[in-house]
Amino acid sequence: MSKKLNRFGTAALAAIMAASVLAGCGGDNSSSTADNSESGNTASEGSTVAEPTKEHLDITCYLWGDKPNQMDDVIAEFESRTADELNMSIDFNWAPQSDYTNNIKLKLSAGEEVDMCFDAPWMNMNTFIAQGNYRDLTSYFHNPDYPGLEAAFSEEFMSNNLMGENSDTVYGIPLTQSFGEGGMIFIRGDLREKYGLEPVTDLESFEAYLQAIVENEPSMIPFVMNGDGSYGALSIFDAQTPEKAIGKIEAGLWDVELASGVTATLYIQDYEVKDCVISGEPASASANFPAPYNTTDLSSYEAVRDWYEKGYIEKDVVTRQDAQATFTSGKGASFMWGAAQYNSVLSSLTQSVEGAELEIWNYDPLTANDVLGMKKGSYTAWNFICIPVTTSDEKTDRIMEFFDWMFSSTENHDLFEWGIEGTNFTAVDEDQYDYPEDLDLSTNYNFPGYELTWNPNFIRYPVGYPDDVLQIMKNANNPDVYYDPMLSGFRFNGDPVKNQLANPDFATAQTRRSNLSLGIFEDVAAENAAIDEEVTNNKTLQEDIADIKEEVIKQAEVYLEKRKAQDEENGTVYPTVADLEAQLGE
Amino acid sequence: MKKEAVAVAPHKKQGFFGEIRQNFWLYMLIMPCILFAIVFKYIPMVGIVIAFQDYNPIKGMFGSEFVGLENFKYFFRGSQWLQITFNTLYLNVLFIITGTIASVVIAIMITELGKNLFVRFNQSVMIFPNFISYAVVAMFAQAFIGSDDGYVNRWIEMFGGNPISFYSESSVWPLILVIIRIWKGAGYGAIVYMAAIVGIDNGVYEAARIDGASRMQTIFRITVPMLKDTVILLTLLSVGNIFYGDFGMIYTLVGDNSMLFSTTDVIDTYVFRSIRTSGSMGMSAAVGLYQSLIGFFLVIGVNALAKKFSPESAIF
Repeated sequence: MSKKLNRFGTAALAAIMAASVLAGCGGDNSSSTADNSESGNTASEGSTVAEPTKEHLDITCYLWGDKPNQMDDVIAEFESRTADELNMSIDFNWAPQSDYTNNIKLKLSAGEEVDMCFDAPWMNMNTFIAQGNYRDLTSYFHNPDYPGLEAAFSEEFMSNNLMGENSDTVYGIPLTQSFGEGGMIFIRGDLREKYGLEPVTDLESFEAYLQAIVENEPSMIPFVMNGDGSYGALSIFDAQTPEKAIGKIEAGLWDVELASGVTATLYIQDYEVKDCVISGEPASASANFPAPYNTTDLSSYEAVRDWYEKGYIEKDVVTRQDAQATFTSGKGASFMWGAAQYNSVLSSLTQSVEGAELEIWNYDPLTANDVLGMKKGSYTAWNFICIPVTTSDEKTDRIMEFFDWMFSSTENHDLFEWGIEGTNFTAVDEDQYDYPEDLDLSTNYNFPGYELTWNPNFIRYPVGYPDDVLQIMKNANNPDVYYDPMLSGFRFNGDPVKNQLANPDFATAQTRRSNLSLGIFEDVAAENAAIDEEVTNNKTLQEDIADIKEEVIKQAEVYLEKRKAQDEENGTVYPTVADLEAQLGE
Repeated sequence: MKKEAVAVAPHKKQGFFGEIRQNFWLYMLIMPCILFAIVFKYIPMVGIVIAFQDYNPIKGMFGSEFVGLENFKYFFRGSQWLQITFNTLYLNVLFIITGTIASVVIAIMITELGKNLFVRFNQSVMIFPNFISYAVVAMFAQAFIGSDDGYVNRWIEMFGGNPISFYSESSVWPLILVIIRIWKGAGYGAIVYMAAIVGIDNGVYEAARIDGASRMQTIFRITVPMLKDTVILLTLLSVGNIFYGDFGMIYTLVGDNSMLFSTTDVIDTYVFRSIRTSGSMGMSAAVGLYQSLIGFFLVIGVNALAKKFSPESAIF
């Protein structure tokens, strides 16, 4: 008997151990239900206070990144404020950016509830629209039943964010604030003064600063840039010659991003596509472009190489992951980043480097001189909130009512973007914000507005920023600084040519070409020619590129026909080099 | 222990159910493992169908359009798939051979040293790197082999040599990857071999010592031959994954550095780069299926070889 018991015990123990492994797998689920019930509770508390007119609704929303600090407080505040009007709870789910796209696919595959989610053309959006997975939201905009949306999303704004086969459908709520990045160079003012240099105002004085660092601070990286070339030296050099970019569009050459990292240049004359070249193609592909655009201009790349040789850029730049952290830890003497990041850079720099002073240089002569209408930019959003077709009609209406509520007043909008007034921020005037005294910024509410709340009509600027930083930020949000490029509303649907786009050689050629912008190749022209030759001799790749081009041209022509009518109606005039020179000459 | 052994020993011909009845509790013991394999290994195989579909998550596995072998084509569309496949195989063969040798050497050394605090401490130190993520290893690597202030280059300069720009020199990377791999995995891999050594009957060593065998002789005549089965078994298991490039390792260490592609680009990084924009689940499933199928046939092949030359070490 005891022997039998013993055996039973062993088997049971094994079963329990296995069960505990299984329970480990299910851990995620149980915690999310706990979350649900928690938010459900707070909602019901709210609803008992004010008698609801609508049935209570739970909305599940998927966003990426880390869960913001104090998010639960803000949601509780939202629920108590709107128990009467909206009577809903929103359950925000967060996933790391790298997992997010797959996460959404898996949730939808598993039939889990995804009532609304963040998506973007650089994520699943184009494919999902082509597969019919997102709801058509067109009817909610310019609709008097949704006055908040009507006011916040002008016709001009929406016309650049239409998608679908005929580019005439709203498949997502566009989230954007600014027209451009508003990039600038962060500099260590204390080091500049230490080496007796004048403030940096142009490329020459910046190079003098970098040279001083090379000579005096051997352990520092003079200019830190990321290994993928983003926020790198190339954009500084390109910005110094704005007439090149304007000259290009005057000649009828318009760039458009097809997919993340894939750009097509269309040669358009009188709203008809004459030719098309895709990034990664050899120089010979642009033979039909008007001179001088029929040859590859490598001068900016050579300038980067020059910096590399002088030691302004580190030798192993290709491995650099986080330029900001390198700069703020005191290992770097300058780097490029968005103006909006000024505060976070300043606080982490002064925390880790004693006596550090932060200065900035606006490397873009156009915004530095307040030149109007010469920067490429439009109300083309790169971030959206989409609603999957699995969400019911009723829920969709209620979700859109939520956005209508949020965009109907600054107060509502600020709750999600900035948190609870008085606790997380203080509103100053119409368009500024400050923080209450003794507020710990590291634990303050930090919602990523680009995932839910960004809108050109609801922008607040920080109190106390230096004027030159504010100038960049304001210029980035000022429509007059920008011209609306001819292809601004053109969204390429890559689905028909997705096999061709997935040709691995395409990605390899592009990665190799983007490495040119790092300065790591001794002979830029030779490496460029080597890539050209390899691509030219690759027959399959040539065929694939031809297919992609055909599809791009086909889709662009549909768009351009619409655009032509639109431009004629609005009397759109595109900028010219003569205009630019006139303004810069003033 | 002994009682259980008695229960297994008498083996009469009784058929399937007789066998089950005879060893009921032993089968119950293994039941959770069988269930685990069924739930997590066999049922998910249905998902292979995604490799043949234009997969749409909302329509799901049973509603998506069937596209035949379309998803497999893109991998072979590229001109470099042979080079990439070679790199994957070459690096993995290097990892398996060097890793096995290093693990066996560590296991023998530690067991020969006996058991004291110092040995235990060293053993822990050797196992520890296994728990460091490759993102951190990549930072270590940069500190060691960086061009501007890497230790290795400082040493080279100290002895009057010219610094090497490791991050643009593709030929040294197989060696770098092998060293990192050994540093990270060999200590942990030694655990299994140590268990095998402990399992060797002590009487054999005693007899050898009485006959006057030296320490080196006992190692090479007893320990190493006795480890053969374990080595073959573990090699067989790793051959199944030989077509999988170690993405976590190679992508964090090399990233998109095109200057190192010729020796470090493996199937997984190549595929990642080409479909990171489209993110097609069908295409990634197709490549995964291709890798597992080849791995499957390799395991069968190597097992057949093992059966021929050393029948008792084959898995099946």
